[in-house]
Amino acid sequence: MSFIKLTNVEKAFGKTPVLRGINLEISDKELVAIRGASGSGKSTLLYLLGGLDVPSSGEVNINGLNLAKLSDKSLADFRNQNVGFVFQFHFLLPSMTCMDNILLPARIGGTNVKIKQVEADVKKLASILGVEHCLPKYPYQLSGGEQQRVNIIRALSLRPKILLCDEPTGNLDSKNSEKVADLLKNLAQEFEAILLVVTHDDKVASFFPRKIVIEDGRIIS
Amino acid sequence: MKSYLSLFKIVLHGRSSGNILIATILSFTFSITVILCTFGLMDGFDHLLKSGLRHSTGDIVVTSKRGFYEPDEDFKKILGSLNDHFTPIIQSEAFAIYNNKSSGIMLRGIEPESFQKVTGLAVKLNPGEVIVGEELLKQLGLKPGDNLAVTLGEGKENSLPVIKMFKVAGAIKHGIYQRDLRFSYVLKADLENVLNVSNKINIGLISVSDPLRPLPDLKIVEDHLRSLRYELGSGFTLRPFWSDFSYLIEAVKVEKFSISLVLQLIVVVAVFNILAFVIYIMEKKSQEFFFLRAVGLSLNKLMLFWFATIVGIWAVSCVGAFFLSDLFNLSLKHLPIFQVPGEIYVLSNLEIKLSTASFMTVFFIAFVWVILASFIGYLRLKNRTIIQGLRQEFNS
Repeated sequence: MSFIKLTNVEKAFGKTPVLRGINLEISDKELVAIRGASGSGKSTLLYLLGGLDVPSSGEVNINGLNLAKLSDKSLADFRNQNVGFVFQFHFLLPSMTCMDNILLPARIGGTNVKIKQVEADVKKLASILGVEHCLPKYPYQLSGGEQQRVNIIRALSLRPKILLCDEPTGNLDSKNSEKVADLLKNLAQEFEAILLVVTHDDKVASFFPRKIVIEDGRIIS
Repeated sequence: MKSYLSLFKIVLHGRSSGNILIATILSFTFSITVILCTFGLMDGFDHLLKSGLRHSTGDIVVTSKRGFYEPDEDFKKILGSLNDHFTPIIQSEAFAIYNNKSSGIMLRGIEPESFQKVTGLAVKLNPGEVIVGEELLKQLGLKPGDNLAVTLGEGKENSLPVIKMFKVAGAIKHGIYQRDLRFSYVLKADLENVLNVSNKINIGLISVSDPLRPLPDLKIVEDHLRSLRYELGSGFTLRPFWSDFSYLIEAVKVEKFSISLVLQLIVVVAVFNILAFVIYIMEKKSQEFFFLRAVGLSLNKLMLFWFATIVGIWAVSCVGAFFLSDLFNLSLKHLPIFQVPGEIYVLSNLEIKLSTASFMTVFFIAFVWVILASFIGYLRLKNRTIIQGLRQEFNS
């Protein structure tokens, strides 16, 4: 049975259609690359899957939950507990240290989250990724690659079921892009999470067993 | 609660955010304090004036059109239950002379016990003693134990004024400058002897409620005045305690209204400060707000946090304003710099008198403005989707 199921999903911004008749099924722990040209709608699809936006019509079902029917609070809880986001722009808050940035989802997660435990997990993961020294630093003190690793640690800090990455290698050179793609694949497997990576880079897409191609808001393969 | 604290920490992260929060609280506190103190001064003036007047005249002053009159059994019968709250007084214009200084005074012959009951002023007098108003004591340079020469008419036609010596027993404070300068007290029996008016008085004072407590409503006095005027008939003149200063009480009322209009400006300035804080935080922290929403902060939670922060600013400002107005009141009472010239302001000192209703009104109006300001912030957040916010805030 598929963990993620999209049925006839349409999304328009004003009168401009961005996604048209999307039907998609993704199984648990699947590793997927979504490819397409700029403006094809791939990022919008990712945001719908992450509960950051709602479709204009159709259904987005994740593990039996129809996201369109969730209240704002339930949707926020869903994002906090089930989804990890890695964006092209790292979205690290400049006023906080990397550790504080990483702990943000845990801190707003409420009483269910044990901060100490998360902190310990984060340190372990940072040490694996080689950025333990970055944790007390501010984002502006890090290189692009280090910022992206910190971003990935934050996305994984609450052990999400789905890891959504929007052009995670967009700001990196080809060598670093491949490293990050490989890293994401390994981490998703280790965390037993579904991985969806939006990219326009064929090399990056080749790291993942399933590839979806979007053109003009439609899945073409 | 923990997540609210985390959010608060995020909002206050950075020195400028903390500073602007402190500045906002301070400016809001001062604005509320200014409004409270202005209303308090008006109410305090009204309160001090009324209580000062009641201390010197009771609630109702009864005079006879014939001059001296005898409060006989018929008179007492008409007063009925008010008879226990009636004090007879002989009052005469006089000159007080001491150490080559003189001043025109109103010498009052009183019965201390009933006088205290009616006016609330405790006057301890022995035969041959005088108690003078506090300002007169200062003006003539008197001390308790000094002998004061008082010149007054004997009460007979074509007779020369008599000079009587009284020993100064102390000073009295009515709270109204003119009366503290003019009114002096001796025993009624002493003045009866000088004026040869045994058993007769020319003024009677009546109190209709406890003189030491503020009068709940002037209507009580007006009701008694109406019925007493009817019962005593046209031979007597009855005046309420405020009759001599009714123009001032009316002026304070009008001034309070006009100043409350001017104070709207201060309210607007305070609201601008809050709005500045709202806009500053929204601009400075919108990255944080949108990112937090992306990783699981609901709009409701954010809205609650936002309102709680603004209400917190309001609450801290209100508490601050409460203590600041209290501090200002203490300064008014005790610092010489705040002493007002009594001959101009009628009262020898000012004080802030604020009722619970005044506090509630000012705090409530401030609260309404604060909620309006926070609503603007809320709308700014609500009108953009998470994706729009993230893209705009992190790409710029």
